[in-house]
Amino acid sequence: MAGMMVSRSLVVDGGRRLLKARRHIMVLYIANLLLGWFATFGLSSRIGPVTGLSLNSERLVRGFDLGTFLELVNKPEVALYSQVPLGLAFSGMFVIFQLFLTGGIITQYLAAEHIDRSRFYAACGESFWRMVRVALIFVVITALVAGAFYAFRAALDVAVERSGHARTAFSLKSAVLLIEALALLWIRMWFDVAQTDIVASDARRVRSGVAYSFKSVRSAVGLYASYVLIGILMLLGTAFAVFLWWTAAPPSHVIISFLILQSILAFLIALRWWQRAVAADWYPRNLPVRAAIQSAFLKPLPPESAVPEVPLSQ
Amino acid sequence: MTSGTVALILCCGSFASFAQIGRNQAPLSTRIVHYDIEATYDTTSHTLDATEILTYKNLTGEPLSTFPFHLYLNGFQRNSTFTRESHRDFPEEEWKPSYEGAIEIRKFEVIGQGNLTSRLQFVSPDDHNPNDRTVVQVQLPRAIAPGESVEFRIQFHDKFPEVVARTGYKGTFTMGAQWFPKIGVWWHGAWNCHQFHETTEFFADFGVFDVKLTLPENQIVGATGLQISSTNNPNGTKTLRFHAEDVHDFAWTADPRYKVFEDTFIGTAGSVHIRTLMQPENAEQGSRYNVIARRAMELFDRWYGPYPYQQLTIVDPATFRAGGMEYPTLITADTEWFMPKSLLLPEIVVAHEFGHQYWYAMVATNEFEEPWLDEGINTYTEIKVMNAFYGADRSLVNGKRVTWGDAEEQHFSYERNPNFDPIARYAYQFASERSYGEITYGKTGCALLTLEGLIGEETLQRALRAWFQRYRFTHPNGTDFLKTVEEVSGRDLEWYFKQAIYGTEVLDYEVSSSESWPSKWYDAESPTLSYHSEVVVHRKGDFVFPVEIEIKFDDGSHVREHFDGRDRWVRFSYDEKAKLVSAEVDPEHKVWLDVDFFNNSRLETGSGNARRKLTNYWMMLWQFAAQVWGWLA
Repeated sequence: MAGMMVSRSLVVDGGRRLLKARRHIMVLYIANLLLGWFATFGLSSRIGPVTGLSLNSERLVRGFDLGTFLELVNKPEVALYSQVPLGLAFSGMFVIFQLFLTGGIITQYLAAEHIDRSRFYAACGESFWRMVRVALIFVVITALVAGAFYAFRAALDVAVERSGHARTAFSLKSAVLLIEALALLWIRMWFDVAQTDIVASDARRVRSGVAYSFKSVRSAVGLYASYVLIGILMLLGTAFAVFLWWTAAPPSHVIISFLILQSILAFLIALRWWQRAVAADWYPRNLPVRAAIQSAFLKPLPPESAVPEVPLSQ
Repeated sequence: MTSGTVALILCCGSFASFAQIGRNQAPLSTRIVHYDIEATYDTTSHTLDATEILTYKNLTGEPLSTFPFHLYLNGFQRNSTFTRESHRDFPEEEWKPSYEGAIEIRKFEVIGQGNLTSRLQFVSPDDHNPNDRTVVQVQLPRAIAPGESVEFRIQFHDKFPEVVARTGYKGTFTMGAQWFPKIGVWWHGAWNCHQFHETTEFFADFGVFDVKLTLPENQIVGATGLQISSTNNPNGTKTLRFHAEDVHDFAWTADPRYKVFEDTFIGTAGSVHIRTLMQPENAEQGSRYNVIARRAMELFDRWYGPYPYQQLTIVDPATFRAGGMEYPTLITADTEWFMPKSLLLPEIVVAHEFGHQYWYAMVATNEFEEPWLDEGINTYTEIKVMNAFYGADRSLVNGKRVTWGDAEEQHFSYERNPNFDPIARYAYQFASERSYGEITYGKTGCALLTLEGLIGEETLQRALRAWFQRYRFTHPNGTDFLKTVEEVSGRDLEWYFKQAIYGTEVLDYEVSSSESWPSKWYDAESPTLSYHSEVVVHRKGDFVFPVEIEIKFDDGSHVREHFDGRDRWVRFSYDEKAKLVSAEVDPEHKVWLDVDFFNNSRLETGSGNARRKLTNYWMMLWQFAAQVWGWLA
């Protein structure tokens, strides 16, 4: 962080915008929770009959016996791997749901006041396909960058394997991974700004919005520093909560374990959307021309009666 | 006086001159071979040039004119049987030119019979693979009479591979294993000299090794036996001289980067110098190796008998491919610099490989044909050592929240594939490398734990002690082991061995039903004063084994029942004032061959605790995954 100027107001004002949209973030977390819960239905119905009446399952309750767990999940009637498609499906649903809410939440971030439900969902609907297209471009670019890093790391692996200096190799690979993470974070920031721009300017040409955002964020040091700072907070908070769970939660108390693990997940969602809020806060300060369009976008919708009716017979 | 006789005298002379170096005045083994090898190793090209003088004493009782030799390094060639089998089991493993290894006999003389190099012939007795060059044999013009010795003078050239399995180089590290022409074993009236296979290990006769190894001065070297001299040469090399008695193989390792740790174990046969050669990255873990080595030595000494050699060398190799391997008085371990203390893999590897000093190096069973006698018995004794020091439930993973016992790990390994192969099978005849591992290590370990439950821990320990004391420095077979156990336990165990060792029957018992109902169930108005309870135990598998069943009632009472397993199922009925709480087969958890521990018990009132806990983790996992993918959106 040395040399990087973290804009205090960006982080703090981003936090204010996040609080303004807290209901929607809560909805997102609840969706995450519910879809995660649905993903357990298959496993739960398979594990229940095996463990429910067996004394052996006590080895999983008092502590966590890895051998007992592995034997359980490898039983044909449990077959943990068979539950993976269900988990993937519900995870995918969450991604789609998040894509759907993104436009609405960004609209809320950009608005001076609380927007009502109809405007929120209108913004969600209007932005949905644009968000999908932005996400697809993001995935392609991320895959290219991650692929390049992967190839570099593979080459590094070959080189360090020959050297036999395992610890140095680990340090080197960790450094490369850190650089990769920072690069991917920068790309994420770029696309967060692009999403904000598309919502704010009601731009229909997604690719030009992405290109415009790229030009805009190239020298956005303060914004990037804010992203890094929130990223560090994410890591520290998660590490602390995992430590708490590991050391303080009694193995047999499922409720305590559930609460700690869920607080980690809620925390991660909140901080991720804090980053987006920071992008939304940065956007009108730094891109005033296109942001001007946003104020028009936030004018009240015309009343329903103003929509010309088209006779069905035609 | 024939030249052969001269050779014999010289050979006996060398035996005598080195007797003082060993701890024991009298030989511990019948010394059939004497290898005298002078080798020069080039650390740049990873090649070795050597002259081997092998004196073989014909104690077979019949004249011998054919002699087979192992040339293991030729296994590391594209069309060898070893590579073919490895590719079958691991098709994703790529072949690199650096994996190519070779051993070439440049001159083969038999003293008194001349240069027989042209008579050498590659043979493939196991699979008739014409491209396999791991066994070579020679037909002598004149047979060697019983009691007579023959001296072979062999010039050979090694090209070490980059380590694929056990031997070769990696960076600056070299493991010199299976590197010299090694004569087969005359066993049960025939030569036993199998090709090198993916799953096979080794089998050789006891004797004496005198090895002079010349290599660059900066190399730190460990080897079988004792180093008795080191001489610096004018060309920047040094020549190290090693001597080992009553061993059947010789391995060495060299690396200029080794950090050396020294330790001592005082056993009933005297002190043993433990020399640990660590990769510098792993140096902090040297003490882990030494601590478990001392503990294992202490328990083996107490349980089975003394370790008679003066030194044990523990090698931390530069690659896991050379790790976890046993040679006489030298073992290779395996770890990583970041290995957490709660993960006891380094300890398990050392406990296991040290165990091989007993079950391989001294009780020298045929690893090609009966791998369970070394790997399986050794897995059992490894479990006993690990359990003794870390506890049965945490002898593999000793974490605060997560635990895993070594025996459980063996059970997990075996129960996934319990009936593909029997334990008693040639190593290279298993369906796959995976089946070989799961059965030879996992099932044998579980079979011996189950045997322990059957005859008692102390009795099995006495049986293993008798097995060691009776057969050390010999080549016993599986029948010898089973007879020893029967003799010591005083029980006929053929029914058990037939199923567990020679059969593929699966052992699985379940409590198929258990319930209580009011004795006067037909009279709804009558107060319930007693209950009728029934428990049905079902033998699901074909393995017949007697089991105990514990039945608990809600007034705190319990009963023990016995089921001999001959019928498919048995019903136990009770008329008691109390209701059933639970029924459990094998309540003391002695029957490790049972493939499913979950169906061994049945509770009357179910508990959802385990389900809730696991689904909580599963839910968290998918929520987190969804958020990670959500990051892309």
